[in-house]
Amino acid sequence: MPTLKIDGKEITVEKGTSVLQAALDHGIDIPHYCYHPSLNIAGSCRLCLVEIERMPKLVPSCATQAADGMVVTTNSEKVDDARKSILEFLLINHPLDCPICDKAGECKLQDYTFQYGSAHSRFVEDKRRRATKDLGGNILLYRNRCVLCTRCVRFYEDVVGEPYLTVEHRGYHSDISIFPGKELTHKMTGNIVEICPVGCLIDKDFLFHSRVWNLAKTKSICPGCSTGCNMDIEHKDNKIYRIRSRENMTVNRHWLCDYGRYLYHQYDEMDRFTTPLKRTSDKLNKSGWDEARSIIHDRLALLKRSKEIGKMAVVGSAFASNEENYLLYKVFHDELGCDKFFVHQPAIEGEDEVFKGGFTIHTDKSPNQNGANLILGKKTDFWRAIKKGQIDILIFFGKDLALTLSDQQKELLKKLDFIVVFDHTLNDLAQHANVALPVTYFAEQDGSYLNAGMRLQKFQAALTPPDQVLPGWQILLSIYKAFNEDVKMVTVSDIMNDMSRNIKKLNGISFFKIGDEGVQIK
Amino acid sequence: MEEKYFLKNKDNPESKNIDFYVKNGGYKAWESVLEGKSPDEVIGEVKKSGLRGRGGAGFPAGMKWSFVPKDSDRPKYLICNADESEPGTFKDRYIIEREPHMMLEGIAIASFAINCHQAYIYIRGEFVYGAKVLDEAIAEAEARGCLGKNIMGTGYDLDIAVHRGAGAYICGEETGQIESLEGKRGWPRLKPPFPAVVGVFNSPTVVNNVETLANLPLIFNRGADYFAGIGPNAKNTGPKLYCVSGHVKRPGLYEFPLGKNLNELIYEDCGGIRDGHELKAVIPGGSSVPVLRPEEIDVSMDYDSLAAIGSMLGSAGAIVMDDTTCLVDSLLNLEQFYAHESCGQCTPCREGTMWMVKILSRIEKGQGRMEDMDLLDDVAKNINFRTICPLGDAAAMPAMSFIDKFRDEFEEHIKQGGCPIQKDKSIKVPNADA
Repeated sequence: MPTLKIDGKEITVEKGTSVLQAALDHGIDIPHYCYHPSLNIAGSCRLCLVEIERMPKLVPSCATQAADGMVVTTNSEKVDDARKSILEFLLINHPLDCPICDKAGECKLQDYTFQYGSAHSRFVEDKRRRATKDLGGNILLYRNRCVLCTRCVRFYEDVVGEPYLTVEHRGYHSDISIFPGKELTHKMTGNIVEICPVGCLIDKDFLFHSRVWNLAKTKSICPGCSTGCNMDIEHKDNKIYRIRSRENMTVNRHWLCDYGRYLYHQYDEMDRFTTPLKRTSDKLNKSGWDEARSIIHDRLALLKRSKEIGKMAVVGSAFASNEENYLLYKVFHDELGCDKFFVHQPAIEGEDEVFKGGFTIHTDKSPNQNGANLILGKKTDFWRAIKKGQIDILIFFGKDLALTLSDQQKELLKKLDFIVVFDHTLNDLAQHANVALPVTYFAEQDGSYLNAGMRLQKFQAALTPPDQVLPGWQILLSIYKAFNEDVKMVTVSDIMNDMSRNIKKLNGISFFKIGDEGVQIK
Repeated sequence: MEEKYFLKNKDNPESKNIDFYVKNGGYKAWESVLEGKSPDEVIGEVKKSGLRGRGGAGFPAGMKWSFVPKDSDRPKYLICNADESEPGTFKDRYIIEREPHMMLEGIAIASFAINCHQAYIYIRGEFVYGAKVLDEAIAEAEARGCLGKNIMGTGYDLDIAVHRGAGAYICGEETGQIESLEGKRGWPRLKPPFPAVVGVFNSPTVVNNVETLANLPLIFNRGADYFAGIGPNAKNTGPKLYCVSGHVKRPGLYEFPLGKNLNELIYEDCGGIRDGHELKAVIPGGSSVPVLRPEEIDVSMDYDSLAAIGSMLGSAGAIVMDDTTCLVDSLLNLEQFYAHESCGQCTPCREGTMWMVKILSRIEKGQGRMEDMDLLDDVAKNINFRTICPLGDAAAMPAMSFIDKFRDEFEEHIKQGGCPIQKDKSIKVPNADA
C-alpha cells in the first residue's frame, strides 16, 4: 500500500493504482479525456499531465503508478500551462456548435475549458471540417467534435471483445471510423455515447429531444435481466427521455446493454389498462378501486382459514419487487392460511452472454428471480397443479411484458373459479381475470430486487403513474390492512424493514442501508 | 584517424559479399565472442568501449543491453533499426547496401549479449534494394554457418529476419517500430515499461540502430580500448559516419572519428559553400535538431559538444543551407514533414504540427502577422516534451530554434508581405554514393 503526496495531501492507495485514480478517489480533480477506469490506458490525450518530483518532464498521471514517497503536484504553473495548451489544441478544430450539440451541459470539453482553459482563441486558420457519419444502429458520428480519445475504439476492444471502430488515417487527419461492412448494431453500443467525453458520438434515440440540464435523474435498477445494472432514469414532465448507466463496480461497472437502455420504450408504448377491471359475464369492464377491493375482500374473507383455502394458488413474480412478493406472502399465507405459492418467471433459453470485460447479459430476462425464490420458495409449475384440478382460485402477480399462453393453458384457466391478476396489460392471462388490477412498472415505484449475484439493490420512482394505477405493494398493503388492523406499515421502506426482520438471509438490513450500490446477501 | 572503418571498401563493389568480408577478417569478432566470452563480458566490453547509440539519442549501448532482465523466462529479441528516415540522413543505407555483413556480425554479437535467438531487421520499405542485399547476406552467412542453427558448432542458434516497413517515419521510433513489427499500426507506446523490459511480443527487446551494431565487430576485433581511443573524449568514442547534404560543393557521406569539427567538415572535406554564395544555416544532426547559425559551426560533432550549444548530434545528418534558402520556407517544409508523419495518437503533436504548418504557410505567402512569431514559438513550446514519443520534440525544436535564431527573416516576410528571397530552384541532387 504505497503512500504518496498529491498537492500536499497524504494519500494511501492500493498497489497498482494510477496517480490519476488516486487523486480522483481523494477529491482532487485532474482533468482527463482518454482515461476511463474500465478501459485500458491510452495516455494519449495528455490532459492529465502532472508534475512529479525527480521526474524531468510532466508525466501522464493516468499511466503512472502511485509509488511510495512520490510527491505529485497537480496545480503548479507548469501543469496549468500544459493543461491550457492541451485544451487549446483540442479546441482549435472543434466547432463552437454547443447550442445545437446534444452533449452540451455534460460535455467535458465545455467543463474543462471553462475551468482550466482560455476564453480566447489564438487560432485564425480554417478549421478542419468533416461530414457527420451514420454508423448504423442508433449512432451518429459528429466527426468535427472528436477529440480522438479513442475511448469508443477501446470500448469495443477491451470491454466487448470484438472490434468495430478504429482510427483511420494519420496525424491531423486521424478519424474515428468503422470497419468495412459493420454497423453499430452491437447490443453494447449505447455505452459509447456515454463514454464519449464530447458530442462526437450521439444517440439518435435522444438527439434533439431535450437539453440535458432540463432532465431530472432518478436512481434505478434495470429490470431487463437478472444482472441488475444500476442506471439513472432521466426524465422531464413525467416522461422518460433516456436511460444511462450508473457506476457500480461490482455489478455493471459503467455499462448498460442496449436492451436495458431502450427497454423503457416498451413500457412507454405498452397497451396498458389504467383502471381496475371486473368481469361481468364474458367481458372485463371498468371498475373503481373501492368496488374491486370489495369484490376481492368479500371473496377472500369467505376463504380465510377455511378448507377451501387449500384450493387457492398465489403466483408471485420474478418481475415484481421483493416488497410485492413479500406482501403477497404476508396477506395470503399469514392472514388467509394459503400454502400454495409459486413464482412466475420467464422462459430461460440459451446461455448467459459474458463479454471480454466481464459484463454479463443474463438469459433470465427477469430482474428478481432470486428475490422471489427467497421469499416465496422455488416452485414455478402452477400449471401442473391447475391441470390436476388442485386449484380453484388463482392470484397472479404478473408484470411480464412478454407473457403469452398456449391454447391449452387458456383452456385450463377457464376451469378456474376466481382469478385476480395484478398487471400492466390485458395479456393472455389477464383476459381470464375476474378482477384485473392495474399496477405500476419499475419507473413508477420504489422497491428492491435481488440480482443473479445475490446483490440486494433498490430502485426509486421517477414517474407519477396514471391516476388509477397503483403500485402493487400499495394494493396489497391495503388488502392486508383490511384483514389485520395491527399492520402499521406505510411505505416501501417499512415493508423492507419488516421483511428483513422475518427473512434470516436479509440479516436485518433496512431499505435506507441498501444505499446506492446495493448490499451483498450471503 | 586516417584508417577508415565503414568506408574502407567504398570503391570495391565486392564489399557486400561474404567471401570478401571473411577474407578481410570478417566474422572473426563473432567467432571470438562465441567461443571465448560470456554475455556479461560482452556487455562489459561494450560499456568499456563507450559506444553510444547512433540512431540519434546517443544512449550508451552497453547500458541499454544491461537493462534486459536476466531472470525473465520470456524470449529476448533484438531489433536492428534500419528504418533510416530522418531527413538529411543516409548513413545506414550505405552500411546496409555495402557492408551488410558488418551489420549482421554486429547483430549476432548484440544478440549473444542479451541471449536472443531471434533478431529482426526492421528496414524502411523504400529500401527495396537494401532488403534484397540483406536477405542474400543472411542466406550467405547461414550457408557458412555464421548464422542459423548451431553456429560454428557452439550450439548457439540465431535467426535473423528482415521485416520491411510500409513507409512511416514514426516506425523509426523504437516503440512505434515494435508495434509495427507486431503487425499493428505504428503508434508509439507509453514508457515505462521500456522495451528492454516489455518490448516486442510482450518480451524483453533491445532496439539498436544499424550503425551502432555495425561498430561491434570493430570493438571485438581491436578491443574496447582501441575503440575508446577514437574520438575526442571517453564519452564520445568510435568512428562515425557524417551525412552532408545541401549547398556544399561536395555533399555526401563522410567518415571521421566522433568529434569532427563541423566547420572543417563543411569547408575542407565538402569543399565549402557553392561559389558565389554564403553559408546561412546548418542543421547538424538530421532535421529534428535545433539549427545553427554560421558563427556557431566551429563545433566538435559529438554528442556533448553539440548539446552544450543547444543542438544535438542526432543522426549526424548535416543539412547545409546557403543564402538562397528561405528559412521560413525550409521550416515550413520541415513542419509539413512532421505534420504528415505525426501518428496522430496524442493531442499536442496531432494538432500542433499542422497548426505550425498553417501559420508558416501564411507567413511564407505574405499573410503573416507580427504576433505569429510568438504564437508559433508558443505552439512549438506547447508540443515540446508533452508528447508520448520524441516526434513532437523533433517537430518543436526546429521551429523554436529557427524563430530564435532567424527572427529577422520571419519579420521581413511579415513586413514585406511575402518572401524576400530569390530562391534557386536549379540545384541538382548529386549522387550521394559518389
